[in-house]
Amino acid sequence: MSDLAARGQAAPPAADPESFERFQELFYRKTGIIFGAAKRYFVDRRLEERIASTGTGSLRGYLRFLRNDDRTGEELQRLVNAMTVNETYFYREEYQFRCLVTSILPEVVAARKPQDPRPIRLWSLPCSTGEEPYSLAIQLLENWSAVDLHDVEIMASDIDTRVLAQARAGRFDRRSVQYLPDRVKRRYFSQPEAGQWQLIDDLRSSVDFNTINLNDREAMRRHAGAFDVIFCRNLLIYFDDISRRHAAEEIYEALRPGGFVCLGHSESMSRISSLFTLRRFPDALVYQKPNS
Amino acid sequence: MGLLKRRAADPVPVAAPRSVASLIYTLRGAATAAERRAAALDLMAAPEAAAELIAALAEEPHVQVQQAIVTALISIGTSPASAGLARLLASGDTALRNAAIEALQQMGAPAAVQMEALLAAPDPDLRLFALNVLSALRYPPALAWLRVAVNRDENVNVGLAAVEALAEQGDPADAPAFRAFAARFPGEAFVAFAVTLACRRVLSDCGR
Repeated sequence: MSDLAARGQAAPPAADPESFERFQELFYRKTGIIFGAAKRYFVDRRLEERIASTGTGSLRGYLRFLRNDDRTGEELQRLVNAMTVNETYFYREEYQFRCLVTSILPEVVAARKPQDPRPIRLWSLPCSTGEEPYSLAIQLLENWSAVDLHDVEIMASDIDTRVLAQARAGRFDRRSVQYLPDRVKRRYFSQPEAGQWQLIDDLRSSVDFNTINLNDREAMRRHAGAFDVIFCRNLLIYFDDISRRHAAEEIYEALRPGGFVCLGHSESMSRISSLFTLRRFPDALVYQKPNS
Repeated sequence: MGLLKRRAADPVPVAAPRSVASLIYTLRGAATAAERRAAALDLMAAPEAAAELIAALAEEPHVQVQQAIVTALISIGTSPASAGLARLLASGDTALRNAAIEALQQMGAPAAVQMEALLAAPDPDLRLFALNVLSALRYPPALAWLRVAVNRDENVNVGLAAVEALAEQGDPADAPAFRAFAARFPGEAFVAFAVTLACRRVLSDCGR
C-alpha cells in the first residue's frame, strides 16, 4: 500500500503528456535510458510510488521537487533505483563465462609483459544484485587452471544503490541459484533458511562493489585503461543510439589495449561503433579493443 | 595469487576539469592518440568547440580518435556542427567522408536541413551522399525532398538512391512517381528492376 493510500488520499492523477515528456528528458539526461511507449505502464506505476512517497501530488510537483528540493540527490537515486530493471541469475548466458576461461583470459595472460605487477582486472557493469560478478569469481575458481598463478581483481558496479546493497549481502533465493550445479552450491553457499542461499564470506569479499553511471563521463574517467575484460550485458538495449555510442566510447576508454568486452546475446557492438574488433571464439562472440 | 579481496577505495585520482581551450590544444597537438581521444570526448560538452572538432576530424590520422570526434559532434548536435560535417562530404578522403556521413546520420533535424541544401548541389556525388544521410535519418519533412529528387534529378544513380530511400519511408501514392522515374531512363535495365521492387514495397506496406 502506498503512503498516500495509507493516509486515505486519492492516488495521484495520471501524468499529463507535457510532464511525462519532461520526466523522460530528465531521466534520459541523467542515465541515458529511454522509456518507449511499451514501458509506459511500468514507468507510471513506479512514478506513482515516488510521487506518493514524496507527497508531491502530481508528476509536475514531483519534477519540481527534484529540481528545487533534492539538493543531496537522494530522491533522484531512489527514482533511478525504482526505474531500473534487475532481472538476473547465476551463470546467465553461461557460454560467455566458459569463453572467459577457455579463450579470453589465456589471451590476456599471453599478452601481459613478464613481471607485470598489475592484477588482471574484470568489471561487471551493470552488476545488479551480484549474480554476474559472483558467477565470474566462481567460474575462475572452478574452471580456470591458472587462477593461482595470477592476481585477479573483480569490480562490480551499478547505478542502483539498492541492488548494490543486496549484492554485497550475498543472499540469494532459489530462482537466482537454479542453474548452479549442486556441487558448486555446496562449496560456495550456506543455507540459513529454506529457499535462501548465503554466499560464503571468502567469495563475497572477492568482489569490489561500487556505484557508477556509465553515462557519467567524470566518473568513468576514473577507470580509464583499468580493465582487461568488461561484462556489459543487457544494458545497452535500454539506451538510444547516441547513448549507446557514448557507452561504447566509455567502455573503450576503460579497457586496456587488447582488452575485451562481452555484451548480451541480443546486443551487437558492430551496430553501435567501429571502435572494436569482433572476435569469434569457440564459445562466444566477443569484442576486443585494438592493441595499437 | 588468485582472487584479490575487496578494496576500501578506488585509488585512481580524479583529474580536474580542463578548460575548452586546453582541451582543443590537446586535441590538435597531443602526441598520443589516447590523449587526443580523451580531449575529443571531453569536448562533447562544449558546443562552441564544434568548428575545432571538425577541423581536427579533417586532419586526424588515427581512426579511434576520429570516432571520438564523431561522437562529440553528434552529441553537440548543433547547426554549426552539422554544417561543418556537411562540408566534409566534399572531401576526397573516403574515410573522412564516411565518418561525416556516419555522424550526420545520427544528428536528426540539424543534419537534415543541411542535406536539403546539398540535394541541389551540382556534384551528383554530393547529392548521393545527402540521400545516404536522409535515408538513415527518417526525418518526416525530408519525404517531400526525396519526392522532388525522384521526379527531377537527372542523374540515374542519384534518382535510384532517392527511389530506394522513398520506398523505405513513402506510401502507395509514390508508386506512380517511381514508374515515371523508370520511364525517364528506359535504357537502364536496373532502373526497371529497382522501381518494381520499390512499388512492391510501398504497395505491400498498405496491404495492396
